[in-house]
Amino acid sequence: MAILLQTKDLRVTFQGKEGPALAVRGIDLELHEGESLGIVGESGSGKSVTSLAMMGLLPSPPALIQAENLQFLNMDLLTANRKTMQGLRGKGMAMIFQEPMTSLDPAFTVGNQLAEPIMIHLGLSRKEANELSLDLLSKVEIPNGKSLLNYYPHQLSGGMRQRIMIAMAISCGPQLLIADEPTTALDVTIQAQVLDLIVALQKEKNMALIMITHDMGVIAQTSDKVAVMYGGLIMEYAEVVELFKNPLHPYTEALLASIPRPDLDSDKRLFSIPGGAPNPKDPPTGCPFHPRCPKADAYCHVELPKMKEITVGHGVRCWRVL
Amino acid sequence: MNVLLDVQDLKKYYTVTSGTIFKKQTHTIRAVDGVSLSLRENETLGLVGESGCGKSTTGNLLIRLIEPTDGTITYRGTTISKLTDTQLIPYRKKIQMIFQDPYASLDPMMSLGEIVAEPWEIHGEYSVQERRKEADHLLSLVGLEGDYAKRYPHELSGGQRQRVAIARALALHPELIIADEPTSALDVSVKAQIINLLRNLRDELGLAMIFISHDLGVIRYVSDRLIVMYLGKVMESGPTKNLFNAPQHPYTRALLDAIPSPDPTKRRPHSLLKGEVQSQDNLLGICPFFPRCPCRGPLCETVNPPLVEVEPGHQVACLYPTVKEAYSC
Repeated sequence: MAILLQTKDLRVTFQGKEGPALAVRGIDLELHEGESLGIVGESGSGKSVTSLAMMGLLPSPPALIQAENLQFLNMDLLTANRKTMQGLRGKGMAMIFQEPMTSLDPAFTVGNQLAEPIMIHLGLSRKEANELSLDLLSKVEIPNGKSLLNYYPHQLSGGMRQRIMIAMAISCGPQLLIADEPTTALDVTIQAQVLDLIVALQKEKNMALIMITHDMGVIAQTSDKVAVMYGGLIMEYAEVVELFKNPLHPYTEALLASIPRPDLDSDKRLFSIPGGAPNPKDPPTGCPFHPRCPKADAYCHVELPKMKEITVGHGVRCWRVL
Repeated sequence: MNVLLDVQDLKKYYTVTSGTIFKKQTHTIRAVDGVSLSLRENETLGLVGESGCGKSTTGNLLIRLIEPTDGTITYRGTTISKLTDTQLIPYRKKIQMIFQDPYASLDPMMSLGEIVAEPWEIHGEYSVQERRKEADHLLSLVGLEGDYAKRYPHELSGGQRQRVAIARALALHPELIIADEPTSALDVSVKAQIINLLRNLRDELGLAMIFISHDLGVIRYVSDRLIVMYLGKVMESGPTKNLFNAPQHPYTRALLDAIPSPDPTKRRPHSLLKGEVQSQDNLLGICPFFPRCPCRGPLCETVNPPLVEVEPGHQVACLYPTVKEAYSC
């Protein structure tokens, strides 16, 4: 399979009054066509900023995006101008955001918002765009799409709005779909339905998928490959089954152990990681996880560990893993 | 053990007016519709369900932040649902609340010391000097040791703020804590810290707790008993272990089935529950879960199933309760 997206040493810095914030500190990713990658991490780990940088959606300034390589198919995204990026978004890659209430425009009807990208990217007329919209609504399993086209976003539930967002994202047949916490604002039952839908569409259209989430359960259900992010860096990457079976980084281990799982003994105390996420304006020296790491030694404070591939396709950034 | 709180047939109806003055229509939303529950000392009860099922409304009714339409709330033998605001004050001390969003529930203009000491000020406890000392003590109890009393909410992370909210709830030595989604706004690793903290404090201080959450994984770690709500009604209630191991109501099973399992080798084929929570309009006199139920039978559309005891302490409101595998109803 051909490589769709490639980043090498991607760095994103935000210039602020109080000095620069290092949101992403060097990310290497490789995504093939039709592949599904999960990026997991807590708030502030840089997972959303990474995807926004790929989409060219970070305003610069304040954002400063640097990379050795940031490539989509054979297009260099670092040097691409605004017009090229506009053409790419929607057709090449599309994105679903966390909060469907704020990502849809409250002043326009659903039909209007669905038709807009289709008319712009595919050059269809309003009438043709409306027909395609109806088709898309049935794809995202919305019955009676016709009446829904005249609705405004506030008249719809969160789950419905997220389905509309998905319909918009796939409307121009993107090769890559980035879903940034698509189900965090939804109920667990609706989350299950929306995840099913995203996975089904991904398979059907052979799209590549980047699923960004803080929920290990969502990763386990949707991704082929996983990258675990912390403090703006990828700490570990592996195939999904391998990562859950054989986590190497202490942070990954801790994340997996702290899930309140419905299928395990509830009498035991839940494992918890002490402390909180690092401050991007003043990241810790050495490994960003060392202040919270149970296995950290003196050397972890000094130097940032390099990414080491332990077995094929399973890499980890930790001094304690040999 | 003594019964702390007893609630019978609690109801909260809202009337909504729509249309113009010529075609005015009123419309009743039954947010909480006949919920009964009881809670013993040192016991933790979990309230679980999707958004709009009435779990938060129930929590707010219990401390009378909103007034019930009907029903009785009895606390240690006193019916508090009929008391005046002044008569209610001693009970407000005994029942305290922790809210979901620690960014909204702490006053940004007050230092943490002031936030934690405010309940004492209102209820006239301790002298000014004692309050300072006690505030430090309380903050260290929730894991905020050092000079935290002088800091302000904006200096803290979400998890630390929730610790402050817990400290404030503990200030008046309550007997019952109502925690409304206390971990939903928090990151995974911090969530586990807060759950463990709540569990420890509950055990050390001998508190009773009502834990409201939509997260069955979290609720399992804290509750002894569980109440599953749907559209204002109780669908199933019983010991947490029984509900997790042998859920009887199709809705409870659907909720459990929907949790994304953190095991990539066990992928769910497709979700059991179709559709979304519906409006109650056409559901009078029938099972509220009927339109979405994967296991519905011919009688479900004719009666509203009452809560029936299937084993001691375990009740189900379903005409066809089953313990079979999720996909073969």
